[in-house]
Amino acid sequence: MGRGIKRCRRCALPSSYPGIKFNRQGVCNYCVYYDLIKDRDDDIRKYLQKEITKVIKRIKRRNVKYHCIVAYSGGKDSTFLLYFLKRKFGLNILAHVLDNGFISNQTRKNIATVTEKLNIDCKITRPPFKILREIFTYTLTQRTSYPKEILAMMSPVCAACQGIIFGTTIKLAIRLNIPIMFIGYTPGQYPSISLENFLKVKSNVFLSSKVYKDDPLDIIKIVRDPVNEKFGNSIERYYFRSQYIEKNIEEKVPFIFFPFHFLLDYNEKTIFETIRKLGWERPKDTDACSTNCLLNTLGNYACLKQLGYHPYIGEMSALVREEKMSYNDAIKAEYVDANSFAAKYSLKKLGIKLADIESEK
Amino acid sequence: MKHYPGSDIKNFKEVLQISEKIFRNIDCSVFFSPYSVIPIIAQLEGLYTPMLGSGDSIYSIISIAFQIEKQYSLFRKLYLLSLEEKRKIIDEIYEMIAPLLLEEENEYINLLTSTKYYHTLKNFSQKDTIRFKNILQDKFAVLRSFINPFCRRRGDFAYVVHYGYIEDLYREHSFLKNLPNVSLRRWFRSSFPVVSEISLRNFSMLDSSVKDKIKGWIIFVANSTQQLLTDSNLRRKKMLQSFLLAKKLGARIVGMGGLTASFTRGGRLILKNIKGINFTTGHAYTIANIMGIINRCKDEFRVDIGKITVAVVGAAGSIGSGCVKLLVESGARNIVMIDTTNFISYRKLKELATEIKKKKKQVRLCISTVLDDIKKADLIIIATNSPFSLIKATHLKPGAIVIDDSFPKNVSEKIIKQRKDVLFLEGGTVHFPLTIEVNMARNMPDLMDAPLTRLISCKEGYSSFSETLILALTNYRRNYGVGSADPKLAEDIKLKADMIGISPALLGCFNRGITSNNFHRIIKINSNIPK
Repeated sequence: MGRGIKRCRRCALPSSYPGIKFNRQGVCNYCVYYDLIKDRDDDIRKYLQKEITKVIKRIKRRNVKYHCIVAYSGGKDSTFLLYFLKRKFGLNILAHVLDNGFISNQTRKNIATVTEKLNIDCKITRPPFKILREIFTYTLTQRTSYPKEILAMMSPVCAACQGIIFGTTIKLAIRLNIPIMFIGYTPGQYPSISLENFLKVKSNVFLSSKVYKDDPLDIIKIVRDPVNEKFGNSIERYYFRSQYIEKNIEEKVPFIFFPFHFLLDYNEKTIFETIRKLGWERPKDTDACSTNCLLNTLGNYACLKQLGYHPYIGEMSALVREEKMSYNDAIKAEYVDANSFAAKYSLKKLGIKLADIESEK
Repeated sequence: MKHYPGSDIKNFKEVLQISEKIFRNIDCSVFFSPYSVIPIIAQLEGLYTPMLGSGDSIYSIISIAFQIEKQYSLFRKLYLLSLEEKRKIIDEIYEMIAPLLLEEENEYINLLTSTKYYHTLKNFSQKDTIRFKNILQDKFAVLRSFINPFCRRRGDFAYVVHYGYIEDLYREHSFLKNLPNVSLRRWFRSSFPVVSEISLRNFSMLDSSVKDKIKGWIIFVANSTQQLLTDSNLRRKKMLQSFLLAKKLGARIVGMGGLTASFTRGGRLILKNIKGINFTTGHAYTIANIMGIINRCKDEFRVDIGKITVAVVGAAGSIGSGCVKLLVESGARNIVMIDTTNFISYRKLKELATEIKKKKKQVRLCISTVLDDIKKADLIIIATNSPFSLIKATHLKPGAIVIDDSFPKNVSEKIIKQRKDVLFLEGGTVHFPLTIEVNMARNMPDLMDAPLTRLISCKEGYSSFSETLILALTNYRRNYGVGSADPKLAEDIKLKADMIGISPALLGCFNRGITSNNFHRIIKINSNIPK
């Protein structure tokens, strides 16, 4: 990002960020909106904390092999999540890892160490790399139809991969009759939560035999459709259709919870301290924004080059507003090293060049 | 105290009064109809929160954050209402706007009391029922004064479409399942359209005469194809009602989706009954697209269209006859024209055959009223009005290519699974430029076979819908393609579409893309069939 770029004085969001406006004081509309709804969000948070705890306690009484499935990336957030769910609630957990072909070697070790230490079963899904390569190359090098609301949270390649994580984890939960799914989004990564939506389906994600009329952005549908349109039946096994689910399937769809929004406070320092005690080590080959995936660097680079902003800046600015990250650290974290090991490794593995990303078709 | 169905009138009034105060301090010129402000009210109530990145959408309170910053104490009151009450108020506002604009408030009130609230009100005394009707009158009065400032602007387009299947209606209006037959019939006869407001922007302006943003409404007639096909009075009433609503909303051009063009006799019904409204049937771009798919098949299969047999099912209809004419022009020599509807259709086929024979004597035309004749064809175009799947697995020969442009679809998903030796393609879907931004006030009903929500996720739309947008973008202010489809208009609309960057979508069927493997399988089957 250029040094001369205009930024919000309070949260560091750049002027290239979708839908941003500044007032005379140089503060952005996202900050003003945050102030307006902060109290309300705190109320919702407390309310949902009770609701989710109730659901967990109810499910825990069931005599089942797994109470919950956790979409486990091996990164810091989902590792802490495994620890929290095991230690705080004593749940029987199945950790589900999607191997997208770009998991760092250290992360593989972390996954093995942590699941063994916590005595948690782990299932790894490996879609054929040929399909993954096609999807990732497409989303890195060509303009996709993801709406700006999605791209305000993640790069196109991350969106496509998120769709597979959701799809494969939900399908596995349905197959094994697992009633709850947890995913380790931080409050900044997925900020919009509808209380009404939650109370209707007891889930942070709307999966139903109906359509949710007041939420024009159905995340699971939206991350799936552009990939489905491009690759047809070949990707069907890895994505999930979220609306108008058949009645018999609807009963088996897990409740999906984003625990960092409601159950526990997000504090990066505590998270690192805790998981280190489990034997987790930070990978040295991933970039500053990821603790598990090597492809992330290219995704960030593509977003910067093609859209003009870093895909993590929305999340980081949310942390700055909440005083959980400093303004300068947010700006520093935006740096993407296209010559790093992660970038070079990903380019080689996908068989593309940096220029292919820069000259998006 | 008696508990009346729906929201409490006090709460209803309070929500609108507070919203009115808030909107007084906002530049309301960005809102172009009452439907624009409902999502903002829902967000002020805290019913849902907008997504990040939506800061420039007129449907997101983030876009007006600076203007409402000092009014926090006002809308904090709205948040304190119960979730159930908030939901009721928002749903009521959505439902009441159409009858209000159509000046059919009493009809709406009577409909509500005899259908949606039938079970609650049947235990009420007559006095209480009258009291309830008065409450609804009061709600209309408050709403009327609130929406007035938002009724003075115009939109660029409206698109009238109807539900495909009765199941879609039951899903959308869950109370229908529990209604007795009399009430159910009443609801289907007198229901009001469901409206989704939509704005699109960031179209590239290669030509200064093309707009870069447009806004409008999708108006869903709350009846299934079959209901409208089988009841001419219902059809007439609902079509006129929807077009009148489009006019009241201020749409400059109105498009016709599904079978709306047929239901209005190619627009003639509207022309005769509603003055001062411009419309398009959507047929021209649909035909252009079917021909586009045929051309792509010609390239993929290296098929000589002059040597194969093409069947057009529904050939007496507007789209079918237009396709036959363009097929002849593009070199087709063997065409089977099929229409099973009635004697008039048969006569139309005869006239079409005579017209073609005058120009191209060498073309072999076969007129048929029997679906079994599809079996003669290598390429089949289906463009019928049938409310159910006409085509059976036995109608198709191995290696055939089927382009289904019907709404509802005439080829069921079951047949697609049964006949792996046939290539099924969906007609009439187009791709918008990926740069465009689409914002919707509310999610549209995701009809079983008409997933209009793909406009957001894939920037895809139906050709009839796209034709409406193209004409709105190019500021077209007359009727376009009244009556039978004109193949010349197909050329014209295609040029306009090219100029805007709208192109045929990737080939697909039932939300599944067609890959080169699908093509290779069909080529292989055809190469094994003895000539």
